[in-house]
Amino acid sequence: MTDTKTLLSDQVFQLNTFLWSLQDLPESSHIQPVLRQAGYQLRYIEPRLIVPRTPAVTAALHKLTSSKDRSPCRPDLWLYHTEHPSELIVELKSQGFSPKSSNSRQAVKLLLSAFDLSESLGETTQYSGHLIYATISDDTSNLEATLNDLASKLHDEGVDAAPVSVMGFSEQVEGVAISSSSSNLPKPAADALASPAVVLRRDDDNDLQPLYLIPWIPGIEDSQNPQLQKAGYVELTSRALTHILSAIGEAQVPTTLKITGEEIMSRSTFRVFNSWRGDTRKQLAKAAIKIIDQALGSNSNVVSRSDTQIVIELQDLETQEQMLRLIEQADPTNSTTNLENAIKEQPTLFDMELTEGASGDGAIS
Amino acid sequence: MTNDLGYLPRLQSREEFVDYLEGFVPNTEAELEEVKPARKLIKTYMLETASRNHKTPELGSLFPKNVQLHRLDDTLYRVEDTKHNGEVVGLLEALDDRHPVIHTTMKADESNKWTRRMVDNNPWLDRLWLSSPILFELWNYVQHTTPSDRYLRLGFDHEAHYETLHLEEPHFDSDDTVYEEEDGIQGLTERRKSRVTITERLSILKKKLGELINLYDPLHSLVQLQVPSGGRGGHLFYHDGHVTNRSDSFLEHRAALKLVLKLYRNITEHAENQLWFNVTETDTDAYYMCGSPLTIQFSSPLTSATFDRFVDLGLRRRTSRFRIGGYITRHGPTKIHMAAIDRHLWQPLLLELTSNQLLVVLPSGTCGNTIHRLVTNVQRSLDPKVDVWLGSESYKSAVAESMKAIT
Repeated sequence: MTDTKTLLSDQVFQLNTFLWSLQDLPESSHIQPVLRQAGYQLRYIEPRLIVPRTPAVTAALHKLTSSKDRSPCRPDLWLYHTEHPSELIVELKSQGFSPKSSNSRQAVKLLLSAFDLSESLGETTQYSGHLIYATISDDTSNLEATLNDLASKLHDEGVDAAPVSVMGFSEQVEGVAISSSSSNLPKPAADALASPAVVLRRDDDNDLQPLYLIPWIPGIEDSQNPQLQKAGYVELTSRALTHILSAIGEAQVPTTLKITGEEIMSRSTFRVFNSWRGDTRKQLAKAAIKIIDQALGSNSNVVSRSDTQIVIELQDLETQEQMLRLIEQADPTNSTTNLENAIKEQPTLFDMELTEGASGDGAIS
Repeated sequence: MTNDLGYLPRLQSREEFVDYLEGFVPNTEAELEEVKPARKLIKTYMLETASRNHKTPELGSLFPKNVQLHRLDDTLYRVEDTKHNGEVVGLLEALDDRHPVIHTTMKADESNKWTRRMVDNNPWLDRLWLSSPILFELWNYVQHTTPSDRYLRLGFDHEAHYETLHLEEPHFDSDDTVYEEEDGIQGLTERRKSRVTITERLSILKKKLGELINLYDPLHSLVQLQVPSGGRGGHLFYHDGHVTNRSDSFLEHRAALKLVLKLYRNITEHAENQLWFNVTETDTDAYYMCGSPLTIQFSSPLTSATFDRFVDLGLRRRTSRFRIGGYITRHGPTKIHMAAIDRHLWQPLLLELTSNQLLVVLPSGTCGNTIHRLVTNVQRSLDPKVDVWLGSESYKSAVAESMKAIT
């Protein structure tokens, strides 16, 4: 069980709480989809936003961030309203930051690209965006000041910046709530979140973590609470194991079954894994093979194994059943055999050569 | 009849079998009222294979080696079993491409045992789970299509199976036989258990049944319904897809099966469309998420002891009637998350159980039969009066809409 304060600042928790606030659920549910009830729907997860290509924007970008890098940015979520024209671009942060923080560079690009989203949608008519930063409620005032400061500097440079607001996650007596006191928030969101709107209702003495739709965010390993990171590995291992069971169980015997680490991880993350880049992706795919290998042990039905795939000979129903039972017995909480162990093992020289020059994660951050 | 177990003769065509089965029925009122052991009825087991976009083996290879299917035409097979000395144990008919049925004249205990062996451990097959909302919708249909002086039979069953400690989970079969140990600890345990069968004129049932259900909540768990035939008797549908022909016509029995299969397919495909959870990559290099969760809300919170036993026996145990396994993470005394696997088709799903509700995320492609299986067994063994939601749509309303679409 994790205390709520720690949970609130965890980006995986924040992302999933936001996703549940947008789900189609009955009114009597213990999870209240407060943003959906306000008319919002999810357009995209991890959208790719285009920074406008004008000299004024490039100059402003350079002045505020000391870089002319116009590469697209990837906020966490993009929401639209069924009636209100303003689209919400949502970026989640475990805590607030100051204008001097490295996070400001991303904020500047988001302010510039969210003003008109038509380029990012491939449309010709204007799509007005509204940038939302969401973080723990204690940090919302400072974060709002930071963002307003950045927006004001962009205006001073003569370029358009998207309107920006801040939402806060807080713990209430009834559960976990989202709220916002930002004055310029679009009306449907402002009405819904003027006072803390409880998304996750408290239930006995249980923790407030919802079922994670997206169980893992790469690239936050260094900043995430170690206990939550451990729990994340356990969850990801559990999901990977069910997909391994699925691959073996649905095979029509006799057959030679080839399981790749990429496919297992892709399925375990509802395919969001496919957008992850660099070391994390390779390591997780390789780790998935390791956990199969460890679960099956020195089994004669494993005909070959490499870093990327494992090949199993399933000659009859009995062998299939035996393989299934071995995977079922694997313990995702055992940190010596789960993904955590597999991924944290020191890379070999060969691995290092392979990953040299690899770019960082294009991940939700 | 060819012998005591009730094997079928080795006939060669659909026509021959239909003629045989049409003649093979009880004819007198006395026989309708009382099933005589020497005169066995036609029993049908309705099955589920897989959703439309799931690759499954050919029907002929779904069964173990001892079972041989002899094709008689496009959709009918004669089923022989070497474990029964190669006798004809039944007929397999693909009444639609997703739901084959097995007709048999074997004794009920034999045919139940045979079907259990064929289905319960077969990843490619599941029973058809006629949940209470589906059976209640059929009951509504019967009320509108049956003369009010006809007798009808309804069966209700709820046993608070996870309320008290016992050694073994009993096996239920669709003829309501519960195989429990009579000695030892089980004999001493007390728990809520209601098994009620009502045979009454439709006119009386129409007036009284609603009141009865409101008075006593186990009656929300409807597990048997006799759909009257045009002539005498009817077709007794059970919650687990078993149907007994108590009418005087096999052909009419077959027509009743088709109606129910149509309803079942409609509601299953509707639920799949509503719930299938998916994240897909878009042309703009982002991700689009669709689908909704299934919510089963309990009428009152489960006690922590019941919660624990349900987790241990219902979700962890390999032989559980829920057919679900996987990896459980505790999030408090009465909350778990489960990366689950459905042993029918080995499909992964996500599940959250608290003392108040069961929340299920079904990835795209998961067989919708899982929904009906969960609802049926939760009502039978955990809480008879649940509210079930497909996203924000009531499951009950969705079943009613599915019925409207076919009638």
